[in-house]
Amino acid sequence: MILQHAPEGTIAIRQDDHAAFAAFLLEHWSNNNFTKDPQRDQIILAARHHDVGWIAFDAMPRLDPVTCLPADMTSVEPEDALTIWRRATALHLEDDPFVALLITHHAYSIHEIAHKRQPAWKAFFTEFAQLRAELRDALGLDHPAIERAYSYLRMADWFSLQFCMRHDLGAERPEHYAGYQFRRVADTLQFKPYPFDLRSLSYSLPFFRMADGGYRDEKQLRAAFDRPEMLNVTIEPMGRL
Amino acid sequence: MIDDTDRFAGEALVAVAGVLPSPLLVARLAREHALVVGTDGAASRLLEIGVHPDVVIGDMDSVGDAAERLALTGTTFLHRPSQEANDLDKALTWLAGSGMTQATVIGVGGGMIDHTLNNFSVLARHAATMRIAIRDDASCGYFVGDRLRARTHPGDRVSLIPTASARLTTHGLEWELDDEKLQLGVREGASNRAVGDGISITVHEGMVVVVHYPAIME
Repeated sequence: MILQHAPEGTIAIRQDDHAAFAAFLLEHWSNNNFTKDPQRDQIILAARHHDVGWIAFDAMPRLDPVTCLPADMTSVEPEDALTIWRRATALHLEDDPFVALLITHHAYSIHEIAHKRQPAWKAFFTEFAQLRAELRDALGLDHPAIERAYSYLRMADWFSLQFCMRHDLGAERPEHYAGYQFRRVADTLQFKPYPFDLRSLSYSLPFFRMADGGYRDEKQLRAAFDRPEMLNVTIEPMGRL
Repeated sequence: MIDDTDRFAGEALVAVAGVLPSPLLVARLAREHALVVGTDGAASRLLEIGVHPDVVIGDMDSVGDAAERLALTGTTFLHRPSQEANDLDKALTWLAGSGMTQATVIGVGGGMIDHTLNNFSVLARHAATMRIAIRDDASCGYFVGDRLRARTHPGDRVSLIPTASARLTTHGLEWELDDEKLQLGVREGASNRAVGDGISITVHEGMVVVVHYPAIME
């Protein structure tokens, strides 16, 4: 679960909905000759399914006793992370090991930043490093080949995640990632240079409005996830700063 | 009277491509379950009645034009082309692998008879590891391998169908079973009746499907 805290209140976005937004960005990505990339469809599928392991967790969100809001992705315990990422990688191990490899590499990479030196995460890193090596060798790939394809997944994940998490993204000055400046103005996500195939894109992002003061128990919390509202996101070029 | 049928609800609602219950019941069940999964044959019918599945699973040969509309609302498509398993099997396998421990299944029957029988076999297999209920407009079925207690009204119809064979004891039925064996092809327990405000079914061995037709469907 992703939480976005804004002055007007907190909203929750399910991980799988964030992943769908990331995949949408890649479907329209036209820079770097990506539309002709022979691995394009696999990269987009990996982006779409990279958080599929969260579906069951987000369907039955747990209550954070401190915030009285759903426990979000930043508070995931190593045992749960193992479960979540095993589910995501297992989805494509048989039908498309390259997609499984991208998701495995993603799992390792994002947790490496936050948890690499923590003993509790040792089992996670050992398992995913081993799985990544097995898939890499079975596919006859080297690390640069993985990184080249993965860079798209990582980038789309980052743009989507930042939009989902931060209502004030780039408010003071634009954010920078992978050579792109980006910022959020209300529900519009702006880029410079502009990497997409259409001059303006529209996307409906499901979200759930959280009650002020949070929830007493998980039953009450889960009732808040009955039906999503839709955030109508526009993506367009960034004008003069 | 103690009622523990609620442990057979709340996690995942699975719609398969038989005859679905009325739109009102489907919509209510969708609200009462955390996750709605449609096999690809049922997905477009869910959409027609205003229920948006969270996940669509199957070989995607019959989801049709609904795919585009569902994708716009965030539905996740899990393409499972294997011909070794039917779509219900794929859905329950994925749910179990995703950590779900309960599934309520709708649309199991009413289509082609071989599909119905096959679905029963699939449900019986998965019921060994998940709590599985089946629903239609008139009845609730529970795959029970331990004990079930349910509130009833006098006269409610209750059927006990073994998945293969089962030894069980009942309380609260017109024709009680006392550590007796039911077996497919030999002896079933169809069309029994509740005599009071509750029944208790204790399964000592094997598994039965307890099908309850409440006089008043709640």
